[in-house]
Amino acid sequence: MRSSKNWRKGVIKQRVKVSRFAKIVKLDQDAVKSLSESYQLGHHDNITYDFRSERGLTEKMVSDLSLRKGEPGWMCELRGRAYGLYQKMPMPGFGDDLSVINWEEIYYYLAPTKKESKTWEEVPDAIKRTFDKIGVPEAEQGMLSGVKAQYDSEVIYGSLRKSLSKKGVVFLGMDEGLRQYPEMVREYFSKIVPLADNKLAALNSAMWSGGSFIYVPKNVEVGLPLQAYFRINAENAGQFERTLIIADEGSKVHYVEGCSAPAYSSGSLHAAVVEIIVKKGARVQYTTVQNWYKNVFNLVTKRAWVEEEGEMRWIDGNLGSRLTMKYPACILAGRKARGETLSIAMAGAGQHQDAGAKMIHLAPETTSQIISKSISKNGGRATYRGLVKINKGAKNAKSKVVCDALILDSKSRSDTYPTNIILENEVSLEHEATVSKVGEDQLFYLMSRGLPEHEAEAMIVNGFLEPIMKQIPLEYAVEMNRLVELEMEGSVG
Amino acid sequence: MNKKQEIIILDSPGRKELVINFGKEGEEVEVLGLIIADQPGDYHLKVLVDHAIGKTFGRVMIRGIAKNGAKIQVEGMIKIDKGADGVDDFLEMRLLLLDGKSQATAEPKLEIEANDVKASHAATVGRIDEEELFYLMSRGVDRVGAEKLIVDGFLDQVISRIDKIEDRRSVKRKIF
Repeated sequence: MRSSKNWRKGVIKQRVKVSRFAKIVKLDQDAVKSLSESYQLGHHDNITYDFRSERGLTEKMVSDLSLRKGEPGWMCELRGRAYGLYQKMPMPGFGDDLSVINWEEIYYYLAPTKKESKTWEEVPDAIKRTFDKIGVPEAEQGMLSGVKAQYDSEVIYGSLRKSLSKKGVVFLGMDEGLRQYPEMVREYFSKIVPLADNKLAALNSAMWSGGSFIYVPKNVEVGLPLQAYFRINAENAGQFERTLIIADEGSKVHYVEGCSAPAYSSGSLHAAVVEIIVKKGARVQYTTVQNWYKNVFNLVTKRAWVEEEGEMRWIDGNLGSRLTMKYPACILAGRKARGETLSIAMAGAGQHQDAGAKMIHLAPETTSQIISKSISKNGGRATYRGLVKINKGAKNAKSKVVCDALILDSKSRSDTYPTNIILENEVSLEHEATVSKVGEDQLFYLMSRGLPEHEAEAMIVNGFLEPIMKQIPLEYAVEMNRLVELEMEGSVG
Repeated sequence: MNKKQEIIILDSPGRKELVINFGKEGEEVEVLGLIIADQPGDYHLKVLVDHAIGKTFGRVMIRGIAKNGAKIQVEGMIKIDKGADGVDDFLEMRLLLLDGKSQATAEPKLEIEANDVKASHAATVGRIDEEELFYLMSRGVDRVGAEKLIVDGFLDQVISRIDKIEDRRSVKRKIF
């Protein structure tokens, strides 16, 4: 079991928690409720936009957006086609109830140059406290809370850009990438996630803005993880981010999206699309730590196309948002391709994490592994939804799925919906899942050693997550651990 | 002992569904399922174990074989309702694909709304282990005979759990 160092610092408690061994349990939803009520879409008086956007979505807005960005004709036409498909397609028939989203009330595009800047005073106390506890540097705090429009990282980013460009690595915002490398973008854009793949992907394809464009040349290994907020002049975590990563043969790259601090967004709908091409022998890892504010609907399509002997690994941490529907997928198209998804989901009060993975084996000797660890508490709902499909011809394919869930109290819910479709007989597929609660014995043991109950529980929960945590780069693992502890305490807003 | 056994066998293309409910605490139900899919067609088996009451015990064991272009789909759902604490349940589905023409879809599902429970499931889909086959063949058994022995042993894991000896015999007669 990994031990958490935080308890020694004396983490501040917001309320008194009564031991689970006592009969009465006190509920305190007020803190969470008040935060969510005070942060509604559209309540910003001191925001200036140089591009007035209206609520709802029309075809004209789509073409205006493309015009404003000065995009090539083919991209404008692609957006238009995507919009048409978005209008026609039905909502996904699984997951949670999406009819609660007010589609007509949403702002689908917010001006890039002046993101809403709040004053530091307007940022809720709970968020400020979280920054401190996690140890987010002050410069970042401004950006993360929406007070500053950009991350002032010119010094860091400048030297990073130099060393990367010497190797031929391209790391730009998606808009910049389209401008500078239109042919490369055109070759792959919407090829991994087609326009008509699902309604939310169609929406993203019509209104996308921001995201990352990465190209790694043959046999180049990018030593340090590339992170989204290092991009200068990039639009802040947008609502419809589009990311495209092309890893050429034999290359290696690790991309990190998001951060563990609670990310504020006035946009209540986030529908990102991530497309990744892993060419022969290349290795790509994509780490996400998602901690959107609790009013956000996070509906994401992530997919990687993996060629011969390529390796793709998704590390997916889902801690925030009101509803997340996200199933990082790998299409294992070449012989011996390998796909892995390691997923952590934590669902607290008023949250539903509907996450999982999809592995599609098209070629022989492909392997896949899905490890999912989810925790639900305070009435939250954590769902694992996965697909393993082994097509005819994918001889000697192997797949293993492990999904474990912890339900911490009687109000919470955990579901598992795995689908395994096997169309080839010379394969092996294993799937196992367990749902349990924190063991009374383990808890008692730790408490008898002097640990207060909630810290013992946090330690056990961190131990439960450890197999995945140790795959994440150290800095993020430490942050994630702290976040998990804070979530356990209930002091995060 | 309060244990009840439900035996469900699917040996011709079609669809069979089984729903298990619990009347009071302390009840135990064991579901034994067999799928013998040896003709082309769709074989669909659906099992739902619904624990609305706490301190109930369930076990579901499903084993199936598919050949000659058969397509198996197994849906197993364990549902534990709010307040149904003390439930202990395990769902297991194991499918053997005996030739390149057959297919299987395994969907073991869980919907858990109580936390003081033990619920897990496991699923495997694969073919006959080459090493086991080799072992038997090296003892002089021909390939067809060896496969039959292995398949019989595979299915017997479920059949041998049938409590009533007459039921066991009638199942064996039906299948073999």
